[in-house]
Amino acid sequence: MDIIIDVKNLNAWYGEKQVLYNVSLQIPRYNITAIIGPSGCGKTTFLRCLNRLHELTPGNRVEGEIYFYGKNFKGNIYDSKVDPVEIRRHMGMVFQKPNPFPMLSVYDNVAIGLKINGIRDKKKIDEIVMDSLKKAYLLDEVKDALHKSGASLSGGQQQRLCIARAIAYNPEVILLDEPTSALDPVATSKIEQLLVELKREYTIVIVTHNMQQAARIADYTAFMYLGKLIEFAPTEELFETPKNELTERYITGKFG
Amino acid sequence: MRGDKIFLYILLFISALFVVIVFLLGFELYRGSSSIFDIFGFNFILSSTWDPVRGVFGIAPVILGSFLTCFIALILAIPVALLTSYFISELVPSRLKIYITSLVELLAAVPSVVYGLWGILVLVPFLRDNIYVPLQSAFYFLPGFGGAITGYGILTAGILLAIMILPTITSITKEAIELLPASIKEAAIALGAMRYQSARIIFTHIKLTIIAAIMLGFARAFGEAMAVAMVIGGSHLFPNSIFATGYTLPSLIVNEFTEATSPLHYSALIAAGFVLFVIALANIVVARLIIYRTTRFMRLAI
Ligand SMILES: Nc1ncnc2c1ncn2[C@@H]1O[C@H](COP(=O)(O)OP(=O)(O)OP(=O)(O)O)[C@@H](O)[C@H]1O
Ligand SMILES: [Mg+2]
Repeated sequence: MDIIIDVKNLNAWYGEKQVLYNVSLQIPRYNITAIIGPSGCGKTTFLRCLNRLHELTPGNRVEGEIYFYGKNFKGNIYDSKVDPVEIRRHMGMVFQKPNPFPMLSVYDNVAIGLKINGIRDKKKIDEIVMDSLKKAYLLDEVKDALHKSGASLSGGQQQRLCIARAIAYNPEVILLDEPTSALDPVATSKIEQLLVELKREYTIVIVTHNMQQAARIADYTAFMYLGKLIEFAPTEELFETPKNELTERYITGKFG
Repeated sequence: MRGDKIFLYILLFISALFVVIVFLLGFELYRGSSSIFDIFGFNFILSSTWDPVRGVFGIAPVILGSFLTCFIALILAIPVALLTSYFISELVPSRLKIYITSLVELLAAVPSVVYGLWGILVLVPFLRDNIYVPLQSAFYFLPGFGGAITGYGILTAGILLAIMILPTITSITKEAIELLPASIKEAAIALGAMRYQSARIIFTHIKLTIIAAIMLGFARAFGEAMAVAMVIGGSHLFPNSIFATGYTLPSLIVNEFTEATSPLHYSALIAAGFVLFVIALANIVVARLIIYRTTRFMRLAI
């Protein structure tokens, strides 16, 4: 198996409160890995450790190692010599609530990520913006509204805009935190289709509440409970022959 | 129903009261200065002769002085205020933040006469000995660097005004940064933004508040009388160097009002007040236009 992210003994705290306990997990390249588990089990926290976002809040702390084997970076992203900004540039993130920049146009919402990542050439930016919007299945819907505010789109369009923004600067991994939880079934299925499409070029890690969603699109699924990784396996295996009793109770819906 | 109607009437009455007060103020100023405008017309604004003895009055250099000091104050204060507000809201640990914020608010509340005294006692001698004199000896051959150096003058007044409006702009901007949803700041950081890049994105999103803050700073600087009168040196001539003394409209009024030598002199000072009033109103209109233009994009969004 070709591993892109290797998490070793990850622990995380909010102030004094520990919320992740010795999580170890290997994420395969060009696959969709889903993270499921009951509310409050630490899925979001785990995802935010992968691009060093968790530590931004004063008081928060992370221990352990995460090895990232990217094209231009190989090593432990929590090494003291590593610049978190560089790590974030190898990863794109899509948040639970769509968060386009409201004061920027649809076009600039995507272009800004390119400018941040050092692309200056106007023609190239133009090309990539259009391409990313197309990849996110959004271009047809917004091609006459490129210069309207990013906040003027519908919720589902905003989330696809955020996906376009996250893939535009060509990261290797895309982290998604319940990207469809605020959307209707039509928008949800569009985004699911899109993710399956995207895994040819990107590695995808998606947090989801929705087990059917994990079953539909994920190649691998991790089940977390109370800050611990309980089981990690190919999706079919996890859903059909769970090895852990907790996993079984959770996926059969017999959870307190 | 009935309650709503009464509430509406009260609101209407209060708004009308504001309009009436502004109108009366303008009218009173105009009446007090009508003899000046009857005699000099627009020359009052365009001419640079101010000679109470001969009874000739023109305030062009004073108007220029008003705009120059405000311009200097804004140029100096805006970048410092933006950087300070970003520093306080994003970089200072939360335990220290309360103290720094209170300090900034305290600075905003210091009476202007105190700033004026500090200007005379500290700023004027400091600028004269450490900045102006070395500057002149380095660039004496360039135009605009000649003339006597007293430490008092338009530049000094501008610098003092910058210090005075700094806390106002800073605390409003800081408030806006802190109110900006964390999701927007995180979106920028997750894209791999460096600190200055996310600062730029943050400032883009609070543009309107920044404009409002600058407008408020301008209004305070433009209307400031006491502190400016204490350090500007008092002169009715056009400035001939960066060290020149001068006047602003409010500082002219405080300086000469108590010793006005004739009814016409008195009237000229009221006329200066009228000009000040009109420019202040214009400032509000211009600011409204800027805000309208900036928000048009946002309204298109809806
Ligand atoms: N800002 C915070 N400060 C303190 N504790 C927090 C904070 N955010 C989350 N926690 C705690 O950390 C634990 C894990 O939270 P996290 O958001 O990672 O859960 P989650 O699995 O994403 O939940 P959900 O499915 O509801 O989004 C929870 O017990 C939560 O109470
Ligand atoms: Mg969550």
